[in-house]
Amino acid sequence: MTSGGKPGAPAGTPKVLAPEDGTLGGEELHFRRLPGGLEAWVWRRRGLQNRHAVFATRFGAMDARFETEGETHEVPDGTAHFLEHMAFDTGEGNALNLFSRLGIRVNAFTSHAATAYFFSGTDNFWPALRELTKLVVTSHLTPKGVEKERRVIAQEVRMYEDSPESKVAENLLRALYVEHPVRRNIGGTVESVMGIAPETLLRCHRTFYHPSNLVFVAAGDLDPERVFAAVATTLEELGTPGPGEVPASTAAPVAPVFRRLFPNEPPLPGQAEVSVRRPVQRPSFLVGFKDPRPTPEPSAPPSASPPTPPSLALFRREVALNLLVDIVFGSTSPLYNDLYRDGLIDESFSARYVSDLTFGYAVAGGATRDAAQAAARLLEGISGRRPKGIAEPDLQRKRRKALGHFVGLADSLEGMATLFLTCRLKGIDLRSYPDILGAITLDEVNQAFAELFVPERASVSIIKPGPA
Amino acid sequence: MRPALRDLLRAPGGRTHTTRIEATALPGQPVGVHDLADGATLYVLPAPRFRTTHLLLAFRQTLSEDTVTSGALLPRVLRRGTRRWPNRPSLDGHLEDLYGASLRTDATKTGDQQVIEAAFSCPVPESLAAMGAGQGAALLTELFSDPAPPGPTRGTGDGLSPVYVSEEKDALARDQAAISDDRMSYAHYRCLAEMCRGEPSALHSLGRSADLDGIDPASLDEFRRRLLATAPLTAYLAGPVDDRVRTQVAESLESGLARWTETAVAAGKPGSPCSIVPAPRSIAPSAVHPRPDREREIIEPADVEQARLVIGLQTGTALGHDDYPAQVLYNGLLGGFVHSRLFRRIREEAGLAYYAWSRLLSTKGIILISCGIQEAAYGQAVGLVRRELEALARGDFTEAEFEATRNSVLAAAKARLDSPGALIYGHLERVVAGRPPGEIAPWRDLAKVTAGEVREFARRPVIDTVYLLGRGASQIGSGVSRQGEAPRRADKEAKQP
Repeated sequence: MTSGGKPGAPAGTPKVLAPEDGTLGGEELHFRRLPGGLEAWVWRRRGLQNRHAVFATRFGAMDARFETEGETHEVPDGTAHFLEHMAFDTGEGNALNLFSRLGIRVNAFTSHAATAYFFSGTDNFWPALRELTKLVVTSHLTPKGVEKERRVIAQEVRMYEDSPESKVAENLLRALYVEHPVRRNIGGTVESVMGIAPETLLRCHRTFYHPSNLVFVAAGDLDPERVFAAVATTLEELGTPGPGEVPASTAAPVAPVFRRLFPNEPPLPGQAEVSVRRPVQRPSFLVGFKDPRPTPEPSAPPSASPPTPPSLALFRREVALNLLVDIVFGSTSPLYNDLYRDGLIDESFSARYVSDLTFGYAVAGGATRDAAQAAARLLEGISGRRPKGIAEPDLQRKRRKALGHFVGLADSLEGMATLFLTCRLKGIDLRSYPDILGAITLDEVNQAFAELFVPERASVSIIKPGPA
Repeated sequence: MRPALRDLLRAPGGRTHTTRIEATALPGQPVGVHDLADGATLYVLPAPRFRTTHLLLAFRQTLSEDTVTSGALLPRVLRRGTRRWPNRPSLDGHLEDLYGASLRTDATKTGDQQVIEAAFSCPVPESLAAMGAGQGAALLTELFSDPAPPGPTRGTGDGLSPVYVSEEKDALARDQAAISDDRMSYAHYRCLAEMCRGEPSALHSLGRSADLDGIDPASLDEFRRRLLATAPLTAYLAGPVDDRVRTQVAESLESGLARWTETAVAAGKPGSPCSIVPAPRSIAPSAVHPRPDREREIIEPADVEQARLVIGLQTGTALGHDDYPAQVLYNGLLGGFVHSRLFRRIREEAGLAYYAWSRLLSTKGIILISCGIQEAAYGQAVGLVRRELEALARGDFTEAEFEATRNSVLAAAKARLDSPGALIYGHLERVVAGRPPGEIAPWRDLAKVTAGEVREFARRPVIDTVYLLGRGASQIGSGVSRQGEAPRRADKEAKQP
C-alpha cells in the first residue's frame, strides 16, 4: 500500500510512507519494531548537546469509556492525568528525584488523545532511558501513594481554575461538543479527582500501557542501534517481574484487547455561546468552528503500521486548514488588522486548527476589551470574506512561512520529537509534510473555507470580569 | 532481572551515588566582539549547528519613573511598521517572504535596567544562508531609525504615527490593568516590588498607567531619538554565520549608529526644537539589593482558588561576584530542581502544593521562593521553608544531595549551548552586571564549587519579605515577625554553633 490521499485528490499526491528508515529535517531517521510491538524511532540530530527521549501512550483524557475483558468501563474525568502523576511513583519514592540526580530534566503531559513521558539532558542518557522505559511500562502504584498524589493534583487543578486562558478554552470545547469526550476536562475537577480509585488507575495502566499501544522517539546525537538495543533489553527484562513486584504490562503475552466506545456526536455545536464571569481584570474570548468527523467504530486505534490512507487525508486537511487559518486570522489579514485597530484583540490573539482522528476544530481568540463585540466582529469578518475566498499569492506566502518554520524546527530536539510523535499517534508521518505542503491547492483551501467557516458551525466562549 | 537504576546508583556498602557529570573538557561557545562605537558592541556567536540565525538589538536604560512607561510603549509602536513597510500586513508579509522570519520587540527588566529590544530570527534554508542575517540587520536598524511616519500616504512625514501611538497606548493601558490576571507572575512582581521599595527594580516593566496621558507622539519620538543617541547598545548575532555575514551585519549597525548620533547632534543645535545632547552611552551596573533590617509580611487579598506564596531572600551575591557559582549550587539545593528541598518537603512529603521552587534574580542578589497552596496551609508552608533555610544554613545537606545538584546545575549550563536564546540572554545578563565574558562556558566555574563553599555561602541568605496573594479572609499566622518587630540579628550572631 504505497499510494494514498483521499479519492479524487490531484495527481502528484504525496505517498503514504511506510514506517522505515529515512530522513527528517535533513537528519537521519531510524525505525525499529521492538518487543511487545513497540514502535520506536531515533532522530539522529547531530551537533547538539542535549539528548531527548519520549514515550507516549494512546491513552488520553477522552478515553473515558472502553470495553475490556468483557466489561464496559467508564472512568472519572482526570483519570489519564492522574495516571500520568502515578507513573512517577516507583514504590520507593518519586522517580522525578531519580532523574534530577542524574542532571536529567524529566516531565510528562496529558492531552485529550495521549499521555507522554519525556526527558532531556546532556549526560547520563542511558541510565535515564532505562528508567523512563521502566516507568512507563510498569506500575508500582499503591493506595497510599494515590492518596498523597490526590492532594497534589487537586492543587494543580485549582491552579488552572485561576487561569482565564484555561477556563475559556475548556468552556469552548463544552460548547462545541455535545457528547464527544473531548469536552471532558483533561485534569478533571477537584471533585472528580477525589473519586478516582487506585483499581481504576491500575486497570487503565494494564489496558493502555502495553508496548503495542506506545510510540517511542529518541532525538539527538545518538547511535540508533544502541538506543533500540537498550529499550529492547529493558522491555525484555521487565517481562519477568521480580519478587513482590507488580507484573509489568509487557508480561501480558499478547497485547490487551480493548475497544474504545465513542458516542454519536452531532455535526453541529451544542451551544452557540457560553459566557461566564471570573474574578479577572480583562475579558477574553474564543471562537471555535467545528469540523465534523464520522463517529468512529468502536475499536482499538489504528496501530499505524503502515499508515492508512485516511490518516494521510486527515494530515492533508490539517495542513490545508492551518494555512487557511493563518491567511484568514493571521497578522497580515484584514480581519486581524480591523479588530486590532479597534482594540478588540491584542498581541495575545492566536488562531489554529486542532485535529485528531475523532475530532477537529479551528479556534481563534485571546484577550480583549469587549468579548461579546470581539466575537461578533470576528464572525462578521469571516462571513464577509467567505464569498471572496482567498487568493493564490496569500497561499504561496503562507506556504513559504510554514516551510521555514519546519526548517527551523530542526533546532529544537524536543519540538521536533514531540511533533513527530503526535503525528505518529495519529498514524501520520511528518516526513511527508513538505510534500503535502507543496501539494495543497487553492481550490482545496477555498472549499475548506466555504465548508468550515459558516456561522452554524461556530461556538463562542467568553470570560467577563466579575465575581464567579 | 537486572538491577534497577536506583540499585545501579547504590555503591557497594549502601551509599548512593550518581553518575558524576564532568564538564571541564567541553569547548565553550566562542564570542566574537565587534566594537561599533563607544558603548555599542556587537557580540557574534558563531554556531554552525543551528538552522536559524538570530539577531538582537538591546538598548538599556536605568529604570526610572520618568522613562519606564515610554520605554514600555516605544517597542510596541515600532513593531507596527517602518517607512518601507508602514503597516502590519506589509511588514509581516515581508517576514513571511523571508521563510517566516520572526520579528519581536519588547521592553523587559533585568535587575535595575530596562532593556528595550528588537529581535529577529530567520530559518536558514541552505541556499540562503547569508540573506537572512543581512535582511534582518537592515530591518532591525530601520525599525528604530525609520518608524512608520504619520503621513496618510506611504512614506510621508516625520516622527511617529499618532494613530499607532494612540492605539498602542490603549493596548498598554489594558495590559497594565490586567497584570494581576496571571497570578503567579503578579505575586512574584509584588513580592519583588515590596522588597525593592525605592529601588529602580521595584518598577514594573510595563510602566505606570498614570504616565500614559502625558505621552504624545512628539514626546515619545523625542524619547526614541534620545535612546538611539545615548543609550548603551548591545547587539547579538548568533547562528550559522560566516565572516561575510558578520561584516555585513556590523556595517549595517555602524551606519545606523552614525545616523542616530548625527540626528541627535542636529537636534541639539541652538534653536532646534528638541534638546538632545549626545552623551556617552554608559549606564551603571545593576545594584545588589541591600540587606533588610527586618522581615516583612505582606498579605494581599485576591479572589483566587489557589493562594500564591512568595518568599524573597536577600543573599548579597550577584552575577560576577566570586561566590556567585556557590550561590547557583545553593539555589539548586534549596529549590532549583525536583530533587531539591522545597519540592521534596512541600510537594512530595506534605502534599501542600503542585509547584514549589526557588529562582535566582542574578543581578540583584535575590532568591524568590514560590509555591501555590491552600490558604489554610500558609503557616505550615512558611514553616517548612524556614526549616529548610535553617537546615541549609547549618550546612545540613548530604554528599548525595550535593552531587545531584552539581549534576543538575552542570547539565543545565551545558544545555545552554543548544539554545540561541539562552546563550544570548545569558550573555546579556552578564553585560547588565558589567562583566561580559569572552566565551560562554558557565559550567567551568560551576564545576569547581565545593560543598564547603556552598556551606559557607548558605549562612548568608536572609528572609526579606513573606508575601501571600490569597483571599485573606481568615486570620492567618505565618510565624513571621511583623513589621516593626524585632530587628534582625547581625550576620555573625545568626551563625549556628
